[in-house]
Amino acid sequence: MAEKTLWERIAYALLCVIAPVAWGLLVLRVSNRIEARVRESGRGRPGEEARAEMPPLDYHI
Amino acid sequence: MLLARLGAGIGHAVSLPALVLVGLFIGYIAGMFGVGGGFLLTPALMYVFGVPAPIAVGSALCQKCGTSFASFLKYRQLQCGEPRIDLVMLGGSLVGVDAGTRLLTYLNGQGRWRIGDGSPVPAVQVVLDLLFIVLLSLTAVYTFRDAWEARKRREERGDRTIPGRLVTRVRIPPYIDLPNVQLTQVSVPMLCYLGFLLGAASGLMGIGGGVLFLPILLYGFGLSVRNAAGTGILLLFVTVTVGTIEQAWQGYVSLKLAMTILIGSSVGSQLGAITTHYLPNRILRLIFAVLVALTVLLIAWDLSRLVRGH
Repeated sequence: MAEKTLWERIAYALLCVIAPVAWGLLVLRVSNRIEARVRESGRGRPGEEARAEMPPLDYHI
Repeated sequence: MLLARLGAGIGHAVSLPALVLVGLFIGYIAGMFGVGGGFLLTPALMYVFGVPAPIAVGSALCQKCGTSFASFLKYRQLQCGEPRIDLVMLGGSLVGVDAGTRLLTYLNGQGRWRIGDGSPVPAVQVVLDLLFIVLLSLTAVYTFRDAWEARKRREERGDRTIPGRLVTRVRIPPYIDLPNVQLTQVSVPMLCYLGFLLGAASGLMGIGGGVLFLPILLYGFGLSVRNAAGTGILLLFVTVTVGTIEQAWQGYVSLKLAMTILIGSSVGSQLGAITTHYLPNRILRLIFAVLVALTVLLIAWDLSRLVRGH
């Protein structure tokens, strides 16, 4: 296989950071939207507000 | 089924659904116990999929860029932890991740070692296996001991900090006060050296460092679980980003491999987080200790198999 040029190496190194970060951002946006939906649906029914609040992710060790 | 060549020096084709499943499992464990899962991912890539050790390390770090960035933004919303710890440790950590990557490159260039009468084994794999065995054994023992002692505690300590040995015993000036987590006179050089060790572990082993850093924050500094969780995420993100760039530069990252694992682990971590609401904290710690101990046994078994030449 041909040796990568300097620019190809730089582009690949940046892509290796940008691609997973973009995916992480997407996952966070989707999970925030789902949490917001769950909160909103809880507000519709009286007395269910507290239960609809999703607890945050927490470390357990 | 759905085999793909992943490049970056991985000679054989790998099953994509199997990779997604492993990612799902590791994400589930990570979400359940609140760790990054790197301590499982690197060995899994090496032993389950036969990925060469440097590529497993580099790709695991690359995958962590995505998970740590999402965690960083999430914990910024929650505003817990002490960002000053991250900032002080960052300098040491960046030097450490560079040192770890250089050591990995050096070991990779060492070729194969013959141990005893067995067949020659890759030097880098022997060193990584031994490091994983030592670090994971310590983590398993500490977590198990803490979970066992938690039986006697009558009340939850909440967000209260009980200064640990690293704060009370290490007296190397200058010092820094950390009011967000109720700690005073914490040694700055000690924080820098800890940052160096965590960075070196990231660069050499492909772990985010959560499996080492969380026990240090909980038992060494005496932080509460909530504050320990919010501390170190900025440090983790910057460290794995710099580590990934260095490893990609060396040609150790398979982006396809990292992204496939990341897709599975994103779903798994959400499922794992839901599980935590149904199990008490102490039981979670015990399960975690058993899981880490099983990983140690698996690595030790694989190492002995390699050395004996089977």
